[in-house]
Amino acid sequence: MKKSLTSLIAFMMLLSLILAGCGSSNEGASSEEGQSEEGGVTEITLWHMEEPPNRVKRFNEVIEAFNESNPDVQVKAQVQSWDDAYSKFPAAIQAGNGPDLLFAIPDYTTLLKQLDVVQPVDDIVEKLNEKHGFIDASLAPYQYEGETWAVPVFGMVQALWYRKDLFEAEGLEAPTTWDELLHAAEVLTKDGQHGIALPASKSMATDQVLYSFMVAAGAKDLIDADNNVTFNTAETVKAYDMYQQLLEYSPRDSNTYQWGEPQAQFNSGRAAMAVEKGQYLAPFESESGQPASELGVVPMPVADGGEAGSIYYSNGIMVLTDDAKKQEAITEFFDYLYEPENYAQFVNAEPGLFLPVTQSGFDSEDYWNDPIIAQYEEQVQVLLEASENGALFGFTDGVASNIGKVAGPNFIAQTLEQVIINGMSPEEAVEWGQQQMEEATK
Amino acid sequence: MEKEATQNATITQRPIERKKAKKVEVKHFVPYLLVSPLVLWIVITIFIPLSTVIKESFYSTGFVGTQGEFVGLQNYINVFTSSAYWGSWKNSLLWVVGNGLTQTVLAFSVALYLNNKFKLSKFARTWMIIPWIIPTIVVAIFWQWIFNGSYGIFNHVLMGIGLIDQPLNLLGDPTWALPTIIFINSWHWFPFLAVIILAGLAGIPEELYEASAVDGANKWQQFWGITFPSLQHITFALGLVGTLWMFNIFDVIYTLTEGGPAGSTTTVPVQIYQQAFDNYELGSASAMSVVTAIMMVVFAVVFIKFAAPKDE
Repeated sequence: MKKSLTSLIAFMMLLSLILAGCGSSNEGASSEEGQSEEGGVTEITLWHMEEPPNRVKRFNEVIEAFNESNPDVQVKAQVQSWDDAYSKFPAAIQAGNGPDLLFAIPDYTTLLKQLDVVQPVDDIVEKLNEKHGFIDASLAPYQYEGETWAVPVFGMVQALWYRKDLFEAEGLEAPTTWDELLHAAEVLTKDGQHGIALPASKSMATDQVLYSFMVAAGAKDLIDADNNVTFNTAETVKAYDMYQQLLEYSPRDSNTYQWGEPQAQFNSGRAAMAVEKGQYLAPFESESGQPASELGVVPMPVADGGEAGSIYYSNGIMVLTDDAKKQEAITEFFDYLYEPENYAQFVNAEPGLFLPVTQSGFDSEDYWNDPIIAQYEEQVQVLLEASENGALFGFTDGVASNIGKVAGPNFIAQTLEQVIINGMSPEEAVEWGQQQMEEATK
Repeated sequence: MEKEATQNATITQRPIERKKAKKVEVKHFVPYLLVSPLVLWIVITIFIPLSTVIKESFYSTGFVGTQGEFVGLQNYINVFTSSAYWGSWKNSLLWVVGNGLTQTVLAFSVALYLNNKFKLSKFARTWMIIPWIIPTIVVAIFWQWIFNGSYGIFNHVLMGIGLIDQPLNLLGDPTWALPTIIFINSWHWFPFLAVIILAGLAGIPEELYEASAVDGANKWQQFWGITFPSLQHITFALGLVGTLWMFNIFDVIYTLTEGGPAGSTTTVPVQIYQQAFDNYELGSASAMSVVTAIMMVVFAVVFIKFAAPKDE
C-alpha cells in the first residue's frame, strides 16, 4: 500500500514536471514563433478593446480597406475587453499568444512595459509627426525613458455638458466659474430634477470626473516622475469640497454611478448638467427628444485661483513584436491609417468621443463631413479647444511609472468615499488618500 | 515413476510461472494507466495552479506575467497585519451566515409546502426552480434595475403607496448594501436547496407520519421528530458544501457592487481579486489565497468531525 502510494506520488510529480515543462515560456509575443508569413503575406494581429458594435464595424472597415490595398500585409483585428487587459493579457503575451499591436492608455503602457515586450516606436512617430503633426498632449504620456512607447491614435477630453432648454427656462447662462456652477446646480434642482449628475462610486469614471475638478482647482500634479505623491494640497482639498457640495444637487444614488448613469439622467432631462467626454453627441437627439442645438457644452468651469483644464488623454497603439518584417508591415499600416481620409473614418468610429491627435486630422474635411460631427460642429470645436488644456494624472509632472498603482485601486474615488460615506472632512480624506497612495507606490 | 512424474511437473510448471510473473507486471501498471487521465486532470486543474499560487505567495510579483523578487514570508506577514483582509473576513462571515439562514428558511418552507399534494403542485415544483436557472449576470442586472435608486420599480412602488417619500439607495448605502445582495443571492440559490430537500422529503415513508398522527403528534412535533432527523444527511451535506460554496461566491457581489460602497460588501474573494488586479499585488493576493484555502480546509475538517450525522 505504502509502495503504491509512493509510486503514485512519484508519478504525479513526474507528470506535473512534464506539464510544467510544456508550460509558458517568457519569450513574449516577439518570439520567432510569432512570425506568420504565408505565401509572402505578413500577418499582423491587432487587439483593441473598443467593444461597441459601431466601433468594431468601423475599425474593421478601415482595416479591410488597408488589407485590400496592401496584399502583402494582412492586419487581423480582434476585439478584446478592457476587463481582461490587466488580468489576462500579460499572461497571454508571456505565453507568446499576444498580439503584434495592442491598444493602450497611458497608465496601461507603464504597466505593460514591465513585461519587456513593448517596442519603442520613435521611428514610426517621427515619420508620422513630420507628415501629420501630432498634438503634444497626445504624445507626452507615451514618451519617457528616452523613447516613445505607443503611437497616439485618438484623444478624449472632458467638458461640462448642459441642457440649454433647462438653462433657458431658468434664465441661466452656461457656467464658467465654480461659483456659477454651484449656483446653476442649486437653481436647477427642483421638482424631481437635479442640477447635475456626477459619478461618486469607486470607479474610473469617478476618478476622471474628480480629476477634471482637480485640474480646474489647480491640483493637476498628483504624483511626480520619481513617484513622489503630491496629492495632499489645499487645491486638492478645494476640489473635493466642491465635489461634495455638488453632490447635494446630484441624484441620491450617485455613489453607484459610473459611466452610463449621469448620461442617462442628462438625456432623460432629470439632470441639467454632467461632466464627461464626447460620447454625449451621438445619442443625444434620440434619447432626449431634443434637437441637437439644445446640447450645450463648455470647458470645465474654473475655480478661484485655479486654471482652465480638464482630464485629457490619448489612446495609443503599442507595438509588441520585434520581428523586422512585421515592423515594416506595421509601419505601412500606420502610414495608411494616418492619411486624413482614412484617419477621419477611423476616428469617427465614435464621433466626438474620439478626437483627432494629428493636425492633418483636425484639418481634414473628411473629419468634419461626418454626419454627427457636422451636426454638432460647434460642440466638437469646444471639445477640441478643451483638449489644449488637457492633463492626465501621473503624466503632468514627468511620467510616474507607478501611476497604475494609484489608478488601479481608484484612490481618487476612494478618497471621495471617505467624505461622502465615512463622514471625513475633505481635509482628512485627502490626507487619507495621500497615505494610501504613498503606501501603494513605495 | 513418481520421480518421472515430479520431473514432468517441474518441466510443465516453469513456463506457467513465467507467464504468471509477466501477467503480474502488466497488472501492476494497469491501475496507473486507468487512473492516469484523472490524475492528469487533477494535476492540470488543481496541482499546477495551486503550486503556482503557493510559489507566487513568496514573491513580490505585482503584475501577472512579471517576475517578482523572492520575499520569503513578507507577503504572509502583510496578510496577517492587513486590516483590509480581516475586514473582508467579517463581511464574508456575515455573507455566509446571512445566506445560510435566509436560504435554509426559504428552502425548507417552500419544500415542505410543495411536498403536499395540491392542484398545480407539479407546475409549482417546475417553476420554483427558475430563479436558480437564470444566469447570475442576468440576475444581477435585473435586480440592479429593480433596486435602482432613480428609476427602479421597487422605489417606484414604495413611493406610489406612500411608504417612503425619498427613493432608497439599497445598493449604494453601506448599511443596506450587504443585506440587499444577501437577499438577491438567496433568491437566486434557494430553489436549488429546496429541490434537494424536496427529494429528501419524498424518501420519508408516509407510514411514519400516519403512526405519529395516531399517537397524537401535531405537525410541529412531526417536523422535529420525523422530518428533520430524516433529512440530517442532506442538511449536513448542504451545510458543508453550501457554506464553502457561498464563501467562494464572487460574481454576483462584484457585478452588483464591486465590493462597495466603501468596502461594505468586500468579501474575501472580492478582496483577493482587488488585491491582484486592481492593486497589482499578485504576490500578496496569492498569500491571501493560501491563508484562505487553509482556513477553508480547517473549517471543512472541523465541520465533518463535529457535524457529520452518526449512523446508528
